[in-house]
Amino acid sequence: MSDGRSIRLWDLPLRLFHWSLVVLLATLWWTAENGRTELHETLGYVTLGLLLFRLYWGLFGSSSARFSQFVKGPRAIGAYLRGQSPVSVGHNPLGALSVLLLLGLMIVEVGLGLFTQDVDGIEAGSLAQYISYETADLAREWHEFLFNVILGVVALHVLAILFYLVVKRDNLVGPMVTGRKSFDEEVESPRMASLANALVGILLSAAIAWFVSKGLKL
Amino acid sequence: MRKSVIVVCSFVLGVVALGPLFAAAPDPAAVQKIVDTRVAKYKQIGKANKAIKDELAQAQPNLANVQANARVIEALAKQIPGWFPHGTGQQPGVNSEARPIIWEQVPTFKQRAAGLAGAAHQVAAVAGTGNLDATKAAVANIGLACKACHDTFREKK
Repeated sequence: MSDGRSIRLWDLPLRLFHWSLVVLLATLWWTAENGRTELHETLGYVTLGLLLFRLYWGLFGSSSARFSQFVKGPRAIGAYLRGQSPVSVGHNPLGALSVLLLLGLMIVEVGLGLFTQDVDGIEAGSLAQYISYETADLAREWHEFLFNVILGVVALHVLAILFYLVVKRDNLVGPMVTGRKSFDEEVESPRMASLANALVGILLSAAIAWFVSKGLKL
Repeated sequence: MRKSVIVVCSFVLGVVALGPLFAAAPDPAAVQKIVDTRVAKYKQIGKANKAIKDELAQAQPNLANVQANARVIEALAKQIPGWFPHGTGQQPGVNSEARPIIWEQVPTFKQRAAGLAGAAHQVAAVAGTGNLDATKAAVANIGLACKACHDTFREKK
C-alpha cells in the first residue's frame, strides 16, 4: 500500500465530526449514568449541532462526504458484495448503509432527548415543555432504549473496521485520522470543499442547535 | 354458649399464632401495590413540578398557576412519610427503588420530606407576591429538595 498513490480522502471538518462524535458518545453515556443531567443536556445540544453540520456537509461538502456520491442502491451493494464493484474512494456501497443507519439513529436519539425529562420533572430537554409529563416520560424510556441500539450498531461498526483491517488488509482508521489514503491504482481524488463553505455550515448548524436549545424561542 | 366461647378462643389463638407469620412474610403483590401507589403519587409531584417549570418558560408566566401547582406539591410532600409503611421496601417479588435506609433513618427521611413541603410552601408564598424572579429562585429549591432526598434514599438506576 505504501508505494501506492496517496490522496486526500477525508477533509478536516468530516474527521473532526467523526472523532467528536466518538468522544461525545462516551461522555453522553457517562453523564447520563452519573446523574450529570445538565452537562448531558449541554453535550446533547452540541451533538445536535454536529449532526446538523453533517447533514449540511452531506449536501454541500466535499465530494467524499456527500450522500449523493456514496449512497447507492441495492444493485451496487450486491455488486460490491460479489466483489464486482470498482474500487471505492471513500465509503463503499455497503458502508454507506452503516453511515446512514448510525446517522439516522443518532438524529432520532438526539430528537428524543430534546423531549426527555428525568423522573422528577426537574431536568428536561428544551422541547419537553411542549408535551405532557407522561409523553416526556415515554420519550425518556425510548431515549434509553435507543442508546442500547446505537451501542450495538457502534459495535458492528468497530467489528467491520477490524474485519477490513485483519481480513481485507485495509486500514480504515488511519485515513480517518490523517485524512489521506493510499491506493494501488490510479483513482480520482475527491473534490474538497472550501473553508468558507465549512464556516457557513458550522454557523448555520450552531445557530439552529442554539435556537432549539432555547426551546425554539429567541 | 360454651361452644361459641371455644370457637372464639381458638380463632383468637389462631390469629395470635399465625399473625406473626403473615407479618413476617407479607404478600409481595400487596406490597407491590403499596409501592405502585406511592410511585404514582411521586409522579403527581413530578407532574406538578413540570407544570411549574413549563409555566415559567412562558413569555408571560401565570404565577397563579405556579402557586396552584406548588400547593399540590406541598400537600403531597406532607403525605410522604405515610407512603412508606414498614415492610414495604425492597424484597423478593417486589420491584422498588426505596432503599432500606429509609426505615433505618426515619427522622432524617421525615426531615427531607418536610424540606420539600417547605420549599413548595415558599414557592406558593413568593408566587403570591407576583415577583417573577423571586419565584424562579424559590422554584430551584424544589429541585434541590427532591435531589437531597433521592441521593440518600432512592436507589440509583
